[in-house]
Amino acid sequence: MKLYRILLVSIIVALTYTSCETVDPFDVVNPNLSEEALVGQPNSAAIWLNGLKRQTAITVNNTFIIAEIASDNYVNTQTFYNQFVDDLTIDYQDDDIDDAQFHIARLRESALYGLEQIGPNDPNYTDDIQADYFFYLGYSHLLAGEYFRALATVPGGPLQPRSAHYELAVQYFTDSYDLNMNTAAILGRARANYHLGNATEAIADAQQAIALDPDFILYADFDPQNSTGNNNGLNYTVSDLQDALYDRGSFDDLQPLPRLDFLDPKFSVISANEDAPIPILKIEEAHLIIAEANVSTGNVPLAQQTLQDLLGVVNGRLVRSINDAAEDRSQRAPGSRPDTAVVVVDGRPGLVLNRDDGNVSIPAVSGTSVDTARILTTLGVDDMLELVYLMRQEIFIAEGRRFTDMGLTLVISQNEQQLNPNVASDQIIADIPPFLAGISDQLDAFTYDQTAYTVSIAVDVNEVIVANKTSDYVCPFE
Amino acid sequence: MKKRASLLAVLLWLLCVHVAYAQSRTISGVVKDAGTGETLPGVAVLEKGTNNGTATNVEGKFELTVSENASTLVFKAIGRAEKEVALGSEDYIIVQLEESSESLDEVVVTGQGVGISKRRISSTVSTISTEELRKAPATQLDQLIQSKLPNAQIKLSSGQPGTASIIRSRGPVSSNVNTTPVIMVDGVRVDNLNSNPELGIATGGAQSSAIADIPLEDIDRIEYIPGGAATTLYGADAANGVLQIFTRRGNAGKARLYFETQMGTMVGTEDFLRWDRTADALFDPGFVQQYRLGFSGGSQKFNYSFSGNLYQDDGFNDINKQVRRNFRTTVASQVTDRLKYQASLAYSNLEFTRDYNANTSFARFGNLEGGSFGDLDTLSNEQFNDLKENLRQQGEATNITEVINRFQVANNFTYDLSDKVVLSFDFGIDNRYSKQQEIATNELLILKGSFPEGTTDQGYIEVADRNFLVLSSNLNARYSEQVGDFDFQTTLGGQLFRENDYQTSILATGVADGSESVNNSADQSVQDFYRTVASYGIFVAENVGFKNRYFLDLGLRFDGNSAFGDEIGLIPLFKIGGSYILSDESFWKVPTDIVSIFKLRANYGEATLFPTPFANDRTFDLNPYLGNQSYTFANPGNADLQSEIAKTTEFGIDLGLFRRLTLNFTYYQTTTELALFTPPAVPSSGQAAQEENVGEISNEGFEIAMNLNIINTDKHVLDFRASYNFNENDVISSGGAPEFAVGGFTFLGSFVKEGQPLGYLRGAIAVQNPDGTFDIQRNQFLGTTFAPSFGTFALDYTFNSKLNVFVNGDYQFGGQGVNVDDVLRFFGGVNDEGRIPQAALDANLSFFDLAGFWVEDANYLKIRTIGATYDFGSVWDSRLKSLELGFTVQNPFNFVSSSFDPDVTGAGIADQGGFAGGGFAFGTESAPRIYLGSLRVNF
Repeated sequence: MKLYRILLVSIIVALTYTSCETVDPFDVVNPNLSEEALVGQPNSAAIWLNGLKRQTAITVNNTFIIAEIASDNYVNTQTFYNQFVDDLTIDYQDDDIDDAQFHIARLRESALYGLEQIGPNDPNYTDDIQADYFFYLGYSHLLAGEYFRALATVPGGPLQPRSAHYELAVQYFTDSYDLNMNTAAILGRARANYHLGNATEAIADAQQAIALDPDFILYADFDPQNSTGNNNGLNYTVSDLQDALYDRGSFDDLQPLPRLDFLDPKFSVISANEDAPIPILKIEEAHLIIAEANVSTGNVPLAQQTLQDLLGVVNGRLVRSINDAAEDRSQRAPGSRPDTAVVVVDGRPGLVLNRDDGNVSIPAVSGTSVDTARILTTLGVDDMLELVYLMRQEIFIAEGRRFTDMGLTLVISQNEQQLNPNVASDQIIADIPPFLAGISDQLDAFTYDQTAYTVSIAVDVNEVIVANKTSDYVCPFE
Repeated sequence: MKKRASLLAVLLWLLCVHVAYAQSRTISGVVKDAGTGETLPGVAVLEKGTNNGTATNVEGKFELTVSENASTLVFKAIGRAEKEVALGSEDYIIVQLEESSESLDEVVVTGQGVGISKRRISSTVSTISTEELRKAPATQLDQLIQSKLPNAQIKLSSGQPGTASIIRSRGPVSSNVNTTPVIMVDGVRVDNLNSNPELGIATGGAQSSAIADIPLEDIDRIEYIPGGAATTLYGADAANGVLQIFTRRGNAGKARLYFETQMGTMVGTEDFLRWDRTADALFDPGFVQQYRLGFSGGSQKFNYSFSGNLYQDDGFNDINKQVRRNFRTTVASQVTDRLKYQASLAYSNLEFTRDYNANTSFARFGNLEGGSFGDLDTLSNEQFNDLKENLRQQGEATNITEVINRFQVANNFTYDLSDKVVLSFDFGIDNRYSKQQEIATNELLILKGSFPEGTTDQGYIEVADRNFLVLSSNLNARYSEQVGDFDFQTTLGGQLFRENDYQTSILATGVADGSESVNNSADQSVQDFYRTVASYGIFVAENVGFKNRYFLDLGLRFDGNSAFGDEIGLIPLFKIGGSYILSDESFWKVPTDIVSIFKLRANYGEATLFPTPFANDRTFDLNPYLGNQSYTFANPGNADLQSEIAKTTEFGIDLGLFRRLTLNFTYYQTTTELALFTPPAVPSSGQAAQEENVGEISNEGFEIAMNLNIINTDKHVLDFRASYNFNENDVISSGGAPEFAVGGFTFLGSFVKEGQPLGYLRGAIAVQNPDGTFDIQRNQFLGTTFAPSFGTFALDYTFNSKLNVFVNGDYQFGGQGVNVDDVLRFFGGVNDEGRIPQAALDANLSFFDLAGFWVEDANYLKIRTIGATYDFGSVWDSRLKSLELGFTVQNPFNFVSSSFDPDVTGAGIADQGGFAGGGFAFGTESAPRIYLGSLRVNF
């Protein structure tokens, strides 16, 4: 009897134990990828590189929009995009400023992880991939320098001045170029050297870039089809800038300064699952660097020649014919902004388009109102410098560059300040160039005579830049 | 000698009989419901002062052999007042038990593992009886219990069908999850996701909720505990409280049948509209119809019940439609003398259509109220009619649907191992499948103004599927022992639940108009979401009574969870409590007519909320990017991640006064230690925010509930019930982490910051300087969405036991909300007059800087239900056992301090059960006003 009981209990225990496998409620598997699933896997380096390119697009979303709104290029009349920086209120509590430095750092950390962990452990790691890792590392430092007075170069580390970031950019672009003679790296280095004021190196790099690829463009590519989350999420790969400029349906988009109306929207719908790519480096920059260097040495004719070469590049760029009737100009306050082709802006006709009358043609890469005649009739050094800055503004519109050209910088965000003991109290205070501080609310201002169809722009910022060209804030070659 | 022997035998026999007679007698009888007269099975019948007892059978009958000198029998049943019956000479007795909401001896289950009388426990358990539940013909659980629980506040986020709610009692204890309690049906956990799923379709602020389709058939009663020590034994995620639904069982005897129908109309609430023309343009009263049929019956060994429900409404506008089809079957069987098996099976089907809401530029209601079409009053009739026609066409082209199919099964086995030991085993599942679908045709997109006329390649279809399964099981052993004046109830138990949440979303773009399939498209993309969690715990609980008036309640639980980090094992949770029935003391000289109950209670207990599953792991993502694979950092990982633990200390007094008034007062203080925060990482790290146990949150407050019987005569009974709750919530520590957003917008959001309430409203304040300029103070405290004061009330009058008239409602004050609609109107230049000082408007400040002007006090008093029923009793020569007619109005009156509805929220409920503070009123309609007539017949 006793044996029988023991046997029975044993069988029950054994069956219970084995049957647990058929219903194991404790078996929980995280479906996501662990570090081991990546590091050491064949082709992980190439896939990681795609991730870097994707992060570049996300970083663009988080930097270019705020920069465009802060500059005189665009005014935010209606959208939920940044509300502070339009009047140059650069506030360390502004979440967009936090996002900007976060995504620049994320790009850097991603590139470093590729260089240190993913690449060396992938049997299929190549020099080309490594060169690209270096390129994106350099690009992250380039952006850090362009948008910030100082930023940490390592997580929570001491803040390094923008010059240090440009130096790092030069170093990493060099590393990239040494592995693979790529135009992106040499053009990026030209841009970093430009910011450092290294005219000789900048010209040499620019010329080398033109020699390598006279039509070069590197885009940030978006993927609206596979985007998830909202626009402050980590996986938002819709072109937020295209949304801000074009896609907003019944809301107003960002509104351009009337003299730039013909360039807007640079990025517009291609198809439901494809957003327009945004150039992050293009060969026009090489010409502009050379032209500005020419001006800085007083060589106006050479600058004229360079700019004419530039026109050749610009004129060869893609122009898209789009239906922009839904956008119109300021739907909420009709008539407040010029919206017809007869409008003359500060004496210049043809800068404003009529969007209600069929398709409009908008440059998708580069456009300018400047023609050969205007280049050739511009003779003074300062006039030529102003023309260079006008062309920079027009050609780089919606590429987040005007902000830096105007001498603006963001500040260290509140989160960084709170979590990074190296942040000094003055790093959270905005450093607005004195020549802009007094006119901060005038940057997007104009008067519009709706009967005479004339527009008068309140401030010509290019004039202001040139008038202050010796200031440390602007014109690196001066 | 033989004779003597026989005589001796007779004497002995007589003696034996005598002895037997001296030792026992047999009492039999039947137990019935005092109100309906229905017999009650399963009522415990005990000889007072002993462990001798039995239970009524399926016909409500019992037979108990008691000692000859037994003077009293005690009758106990869940949800009913315990009754003591003095034994006279009669051996057959009829006992009537009353349903009770406030009695010391009401038996409750929630929080104790097994049924226990309220007398013995030190925490509060609120119950809602069948009668109460029948007074509100609600379609979803949160609506049903609104205004009925004294210590819980329920706010529906929108009047659109199937939407989420904010259910809270003792304030938010977590920044990581919303305040929705654990919900159980017949001891089995059910899906309580009170927000959109992770991959749910964002059609604006309308959040879908799994609570909306919990079958409400045949609910016998609902028990609710608000957290604290009462929830310690539940472990895992019970810190927000536990709400248990118990379903009705069939009775022995002839089968009973009932039929019920409700019909009426649903009308959009215009109380909060900025423009009357909004209602003119969109609202359209809808027909509501509901049919219920049920029957039950059984024998002594087996009984069953079935009830089915069909519901349909046409909404209050031209788009919303809702159909519900539910049924529930229950069985109970006395398998052997010792083993009892009970089961309930429910199926629920819900299908509805919705409009675009709140946070999308497609929202018709949002666009009207948000000023997208300017000041509606200034439009000419012709302009308005054009707009109306355009909106009608938009409505016609709108196609947002959701379908839910849900099965719930609960099994319960009880086995009487001996007179003293009872084993109970529950297991069951809830399986809920939902499919949300949005079809945006080119036609719709053109009508919405997104694309120019002639567009043919922008149509899209989005589909979001969610398949949720929760499996739960409990095993308890209860041992009862009495030693002298002491009695012990020892419970040993174990629990396990596992949740699988699988979601997929499909986006098809370039869809041709006319297609309802994602196949007819230029491109498709898919995402999935997979979340599994297994939680388990074992506990031991001891409830010691001394002289039936001193009670000590002890509990210890060890809690494990698959969401814990690698460094974390089992978490111990502890509770201790005591109660003392002072009014039962012999020295208590206060006449019972004045004070009938005086109970003191105090306890300390720990309850938890487990971390987000998989948040402990370091992960990477592989994302599709332009047709290629791409890796990126995902979750940084945290090996030390564990549950946040809410530690509550509670004191209370329960008073019964003048035999007419019961008063309950409870003070509580809860500190959430190791609170789960997900603050941003240092931006220079480029790493995503990681969930960490770094915070500390305090909730302190008190709860007062009263029941007053104002009139109690043969003809008239008038009862009044009211409650007042006060809660103060504060983030004591953020562990050095910066503040982080948990809802709302960038310009005005809901944040977590040390020294402020959870989810406080943060935004800029514009202060005017003497020189007329404005000084902008950013990131300031603008208010809290969890009103510190709230409560419910109800008045109930019965005439002649036939006519019943009732009204209930709730209120809050001290909280704030944001009128986001007016922010949108500000963009359109049609903002509310007088809200923003002219000087600020002249200064051309951005809406970020003006944020403070849109925050308003959100005090309200709302009448949720007014109704009347008349019971005609037995009619048609008793062919109909009863016939009842009724009429109710839901949401008839709103008295509010704000220019918006404080209930609705367009942006304050995070997906997948995340933090829900609400408070962002915009772009969505309030709960509609519903007029319903009802007829109920019992056969």
